[in-house]
Amino acid sequence: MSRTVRLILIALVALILCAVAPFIGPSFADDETMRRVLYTLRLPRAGAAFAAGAILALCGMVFQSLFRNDLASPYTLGVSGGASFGAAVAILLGLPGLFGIPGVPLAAFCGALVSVAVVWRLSLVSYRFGSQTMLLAGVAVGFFFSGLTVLVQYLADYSHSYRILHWLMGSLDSAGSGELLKLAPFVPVVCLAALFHRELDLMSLGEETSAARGLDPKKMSLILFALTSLAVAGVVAVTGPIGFVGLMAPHIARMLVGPSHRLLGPATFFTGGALLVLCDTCARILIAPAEIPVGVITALLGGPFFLWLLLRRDR
Amino acid sequence: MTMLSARGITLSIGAATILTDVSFDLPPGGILSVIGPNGAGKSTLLKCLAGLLTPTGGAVRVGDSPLETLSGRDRARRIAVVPQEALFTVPFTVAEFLELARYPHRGSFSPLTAADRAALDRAVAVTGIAPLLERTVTTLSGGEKRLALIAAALAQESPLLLLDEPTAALDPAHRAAILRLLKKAHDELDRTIVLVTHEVNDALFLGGTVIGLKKGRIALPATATDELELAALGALFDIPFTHWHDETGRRLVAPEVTP
Repeated sequence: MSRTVRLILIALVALILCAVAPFIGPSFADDETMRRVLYTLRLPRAGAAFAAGAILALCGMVFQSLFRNDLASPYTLGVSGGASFGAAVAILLGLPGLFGIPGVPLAAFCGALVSVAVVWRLSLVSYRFGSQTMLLAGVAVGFFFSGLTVLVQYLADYSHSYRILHWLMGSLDSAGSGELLKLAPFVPVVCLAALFHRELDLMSLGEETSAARGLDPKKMSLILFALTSLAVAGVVAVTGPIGFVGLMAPHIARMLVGPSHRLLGPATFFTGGALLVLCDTCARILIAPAEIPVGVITALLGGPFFLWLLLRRDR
Repeated sequence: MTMLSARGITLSIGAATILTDVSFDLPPGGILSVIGPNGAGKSTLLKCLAGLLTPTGGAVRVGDSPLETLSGRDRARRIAVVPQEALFTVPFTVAEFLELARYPHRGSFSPLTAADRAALDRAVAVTGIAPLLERTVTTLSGGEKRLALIAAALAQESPLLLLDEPTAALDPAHRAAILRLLKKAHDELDRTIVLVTHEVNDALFLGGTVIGLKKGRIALPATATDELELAALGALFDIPFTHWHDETGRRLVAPEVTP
């Protein structure tokens, strides 16, 4: 099967999944209630899940290419650490919102951008701007902010501490049309990054080869980091840190359509979106009427599934 | 008129001086082999000539233009580089890898034009790499990888071809194939060639001019390959050299290894 046909199939499967997902779950005898549940709750939530998954997945793909590292994820630069700290502080202090955006996502967004800025600045201090330096700086900054978050949680009272913990697990349980609207502007941002598919191909060959082909690798990575960091910060602020999708989806897409970013970009977009819709649907229905945080599902389903894919490929 | 000129190239990284006052001129259609022992700064010089490293002193000119005034794409349209090794970690097919060599001519968003396809076809034809096109680059042998790198550099269609140890770590058959290919690139495709190597016989096979680099300085000034003296080679590599002629009359050199 040609790779283009596979991409079309991925897109079809993803769209069908999104269309079907809202109909899965407890149904209501009353048509009016059912309609309201579908249109005001489940449909926007599926949309928000798709947008968040697609953004995280594309950011993961860009990072894996820039760092030339299979383990890179959207959170590699310490974004989730910074966002978590921001959210924890906002929950503890009850920070007010601004411009109609509530305090917690706003503080999380700022925290995420601060951590990326710190990593970026650190990487410029070293003589050779190397992706390895950034990778390590990101890990260190992430740990630093995680420490601060634990400290805030330790200092908080029981109810605040529970709210922080809930935020840290990453969740879509309150996602509705408002969240979908907040996520929507970040979709074009990350798609813009993925449009540079030739540059991403070149950068995955190494800085020297890409420079020899006429690309300015420093300038290009600055553009790509700026776009993806903004988008990841946006998603984390809205949903909390949902793990695994950004790491896994690009790999699944790569196994299906190959490494060339022209096809890999759209394939990753649909795979990431579909994956999070699927995980969120499981989160909704597995112990209904209660919910499991979707971050738990992505890790519990994603981990073994990913291992199975890896072993199957190597056989 | 010169195709490539270096004037007083000096490069220091921290306290270490890697290159000191390296100068030469290369006319269009010329071949220049930079020879010298390991660690002489040959590969660093090549990177300075390719614009991948910025010298701390001196200047490189490509035709009439100072190298640093050229945009990345402009530079890549004039200079193609064959590195000694490339990061073949992503399983692109050879065809995909070659297509990326057209980047300086296409930019970010334009599709492959007829000119791009023609350049790719020419590079595939001259290197004979057609049977490998659907293979992934991660599965290629050392010799095949080198061939793919050269094919990509030829597909880039830059008049100036810079190569870093293109025959290093290759078996005799692959080494001969690469040398024949470089000769063809020069004779039939009109490429001007700069070659970095410590294989003196590679330089003798290709002809043209030789310069010798030792501890970052020019230890052997530009010399035509057929006038290369054994004493000069001996001084450059710190070991006496001997030479002989094969049945075709071609001169070969080798170090005198005494037990």
